[in-house]
Amino acid sequence: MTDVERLFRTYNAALVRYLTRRLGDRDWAEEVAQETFVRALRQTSIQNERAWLFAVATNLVRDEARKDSRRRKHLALLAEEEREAMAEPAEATLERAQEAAMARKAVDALAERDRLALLMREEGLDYNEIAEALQLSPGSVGTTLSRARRRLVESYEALQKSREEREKHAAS
Amino acid sequence: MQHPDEGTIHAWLDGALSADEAAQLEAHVKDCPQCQAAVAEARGFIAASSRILTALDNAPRGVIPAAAPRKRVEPWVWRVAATVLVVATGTFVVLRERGTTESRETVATDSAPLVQTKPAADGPVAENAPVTRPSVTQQNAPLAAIPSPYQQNATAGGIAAGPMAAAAPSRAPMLSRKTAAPRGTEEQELSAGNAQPGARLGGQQGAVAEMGKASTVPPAPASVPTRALSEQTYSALSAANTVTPRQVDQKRMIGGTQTFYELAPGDTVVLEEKSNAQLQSVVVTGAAAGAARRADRRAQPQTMPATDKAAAAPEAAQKTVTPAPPPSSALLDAASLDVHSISWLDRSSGRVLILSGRHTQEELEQIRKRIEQVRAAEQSKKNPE
Repeated sequence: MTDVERLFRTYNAALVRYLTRRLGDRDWAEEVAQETFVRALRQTSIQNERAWLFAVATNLVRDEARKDSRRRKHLALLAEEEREAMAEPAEATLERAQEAAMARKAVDALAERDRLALLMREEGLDYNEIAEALQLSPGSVGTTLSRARRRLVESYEALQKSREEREKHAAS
Repeated sequence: MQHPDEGTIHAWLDGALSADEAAQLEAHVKDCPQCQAAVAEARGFIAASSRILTALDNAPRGVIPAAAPRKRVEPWVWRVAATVLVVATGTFVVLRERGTTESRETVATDSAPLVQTKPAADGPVAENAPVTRPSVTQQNAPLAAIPSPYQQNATAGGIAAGPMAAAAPSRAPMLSRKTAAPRGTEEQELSAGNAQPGARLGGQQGAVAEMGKASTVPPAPASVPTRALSEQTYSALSAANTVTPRQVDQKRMIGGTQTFYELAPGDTVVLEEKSNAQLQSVVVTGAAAGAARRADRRAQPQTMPATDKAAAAPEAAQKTVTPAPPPSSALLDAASLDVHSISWLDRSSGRVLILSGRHTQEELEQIRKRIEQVRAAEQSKKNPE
């Protein structure tokens, strides 16, 4: 019991952030994180805690994603966000919303494995932990991460550029 | 040592290489400008992707489970309001032209029955969308009592939606004939059966009333005829020519915002701000309305049974037996009451601005200048640099 408490205190914040970035919804992220710790309760021994937790959370998300209603709600939310981003003229909010929308798009454009590796790395998992959670060979993590980062930045910059061009076009 | 690949450089920067590998790589990079550039680039990618990912941390809550239902305005209200607005702009341009030659005397005295105008153009709109009209008199309390030009604008636009869309297509580019037709009938259906206009307004009337409530324009006495009101505001304007327009209300709508400026008590103008402007130059509304006006002049006024009680005001509800209708043009003039609008492209924001009010175009140009001063002052307050 105290062990799960310790696990929770140590990893919950990172796990929730990872899942939030992955799912785009904080409630959903917290629910998956809780479920992850519940699974940890049933486990007699975990070798690498962090890798185990991230792997289980990732698989839970994969299972969750199969549930259609959840997916539909998520899509509905994204659509609403987009609508609100368009209707909201307050400059600062608009700017932030646009950045978030572009980031979301750029992240979603990554291959699943690249995306997960990158999000796990951002939460401080080392190469061995990432390899374990995603069942990769440790030697390929560097390549996976470099590809993920390059593609993320490049597609984000492309989105930024096309947005600037749209604005310039609208202003002229 | 060979040039390390990108993955190895990232692994090194992530501290994932063994001490031996790291030392080797370090020694190589020290003397290799190419790899120094690659390392710099990799550092940039690492920093940039971290920054991009933090933008995802403000994720919303409430996708699951049962989220608290968000209070949203029904989509149809927006659609109706937008339709009313767009059509109203076009309508007034045509009406203004008509109003210069035709009589207005019948305007404020007659409790007008429901009338259908049918453009000679005989477009599909005119046939598919018979549009009923409530009376536009001082007794028509919920609508006429509020002297905002926008109110007048919206009311008249809603009234004449179907036929005018056909008569002045160039003034209402957003409203295609196809959308105009079902809209007109839908509004009718929505408002049908609402015999208590004060209690519950349906359809376009509801939308109009809502906007009226939101604006803080003080209501004029219900007994003031609309025409007298017009004269009142004209004199108010001349007195207010040096007054700074005061922003009294702002509404967001599809594709833009509406700002209500008060020049004097009871004398308001509406500034519409369209986002996503496609226009490239200044447009003066009304200049090209001549052709539409001529077409509309041939229109045949027709009476229609007064079935739509909800659209009519208390007065009309009391008198379900309608007297002979006045000429439609007089009615339309009553609604227009010399509301004009000008539009232009705001170069700094890239938005189309439309200013409408019960003033001449020259006066609107004056008002526009003053509003722009106010807006510029607000802008510089927001961004001190």
